[in-house]
Amino acid sequence: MGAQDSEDGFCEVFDRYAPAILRYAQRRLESREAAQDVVSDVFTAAWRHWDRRPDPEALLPWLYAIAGNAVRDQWRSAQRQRRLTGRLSALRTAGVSGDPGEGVVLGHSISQALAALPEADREVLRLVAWEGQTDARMLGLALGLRPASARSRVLRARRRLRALLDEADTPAGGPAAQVTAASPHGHASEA
Amino acid sequence: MVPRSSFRRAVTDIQSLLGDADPATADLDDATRAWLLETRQAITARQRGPGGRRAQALVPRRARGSRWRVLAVAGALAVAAGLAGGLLAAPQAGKGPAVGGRAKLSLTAAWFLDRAAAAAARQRALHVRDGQYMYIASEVRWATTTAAPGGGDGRTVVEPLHKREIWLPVSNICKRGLLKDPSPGRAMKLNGARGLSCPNRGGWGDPSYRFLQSLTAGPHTLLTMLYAATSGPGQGRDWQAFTAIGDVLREAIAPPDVSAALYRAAALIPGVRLIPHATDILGQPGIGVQLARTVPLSPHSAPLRQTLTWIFNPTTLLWIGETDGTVHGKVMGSVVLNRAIVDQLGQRP
Repeated sequence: MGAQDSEDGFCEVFDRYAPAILRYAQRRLESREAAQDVVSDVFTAAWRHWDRRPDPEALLPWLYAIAGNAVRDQWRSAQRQRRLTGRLSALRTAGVSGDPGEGVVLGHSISQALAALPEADREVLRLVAWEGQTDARMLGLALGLRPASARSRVLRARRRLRALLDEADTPAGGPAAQVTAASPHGHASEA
Repeated sequence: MVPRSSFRRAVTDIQSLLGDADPATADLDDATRAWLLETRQAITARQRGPGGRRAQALVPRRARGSRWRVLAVAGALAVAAGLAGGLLAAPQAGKGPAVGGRAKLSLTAAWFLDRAAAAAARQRALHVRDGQYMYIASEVRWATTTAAPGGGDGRTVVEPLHKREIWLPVSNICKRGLLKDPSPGRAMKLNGARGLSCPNRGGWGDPSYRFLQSLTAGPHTLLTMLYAATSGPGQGRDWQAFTAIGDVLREAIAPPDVSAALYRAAALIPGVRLIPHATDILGQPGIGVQLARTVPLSPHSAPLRQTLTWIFNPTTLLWIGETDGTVHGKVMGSVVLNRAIVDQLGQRP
């Protein structure tokens, strides 16, 4: 690849991180095509503002932050579409039902426990477990939080996940886990 | 304050709990790798900076098919209509919407766009044959970011004002087009559509004359179609719709009634406002219709304010160009010089 082709390092960054962004989107969206749209939009936005990109070590969290907005837009778009077609119930499995909290334990599996968590908690868990964002500063960049807030968010999400899983292992009639509802957009502000 | 050790334990616990539940661990298949390559090429083929917003319409998306093509788009033929001036005085004289504040500006823009639509509708309808090409010549100035000699950080530079000519098939976007623009340094053959069923008349992101001709709907329906077709993540549907219409106005040719309907559709977009005394990139005075937005780039940088202004001839009320922000003190944008339907690639009217 020549210097011109490398486009100031953008091509290398794209080749390195586009698969990660695609997986990020696939983990959060049902449709493969929607996930591809997210990749297109994330890197289009990055290209347009390439001269304002962060340091190399923070590039991936920066891209995750952009991808988070793109995914939420995809959710909203899907929600609108399904509202139009009267199939809102299908949204429940897509993680876009407005308020997944209310202390409801939905089932015994990890995926069901995740589904019962507020989106803000789900997102931090996914970033840690699946996107490998285990550094508080980088995690904070991806979530739009200060490092200290990111640490708190991790501990809170883990505590709630554990509570749900413990509850699932408790015989029927045991105390319900308390899960605080959060906005689907909760990543933008510290709860 | 959370102890770091607690944080590390929580991270380890989360990874052990959820690691096996990752729904996206499969390796990329060849088709996905090819798609990624195409997407990268589509993005880097576009300009950066304020002018780079056009990339949004070009990057492969499922709604548009997986393809790249230099942007082509259209508007009413720039033939003088000879309308009388003085239009801007009318609202203040009580003939326009009687509202105040920001809403007044918005409604005044709507009023003006209705007059511009009427002017566009009076243009001569063209007889267009399949196999012909839309020819659009314009004067443009955009910004681009180039790699520094020997590597290192790039820098954004403003291209000099220069002429750009483009030829685009009127009926089938699978056919090749031609771009002559000195900024890439050479003439470019524009690849036809890939990954689409052919022949194909295109869509909002890549319209042919036949596609635009097929838009017989009224303004409200047109805007609904635009919202549906351009609803890209993170862009805001009003901005997307406004820029999609602007793309058509800049570098394509639409039948007069369609141009009129597009203006009236733009008038329905919230936030569109009138700029009574606008100037195009050549310094010519005109009447502006503008939409602005604020873009949150990342959690750690200041939002970017963007404005896109369509410039109309103050006498004819026909679209003459656009401005798209300022870089290094220079106004970015384009001014149309000529539009025509021609028989051959490379042929000038």
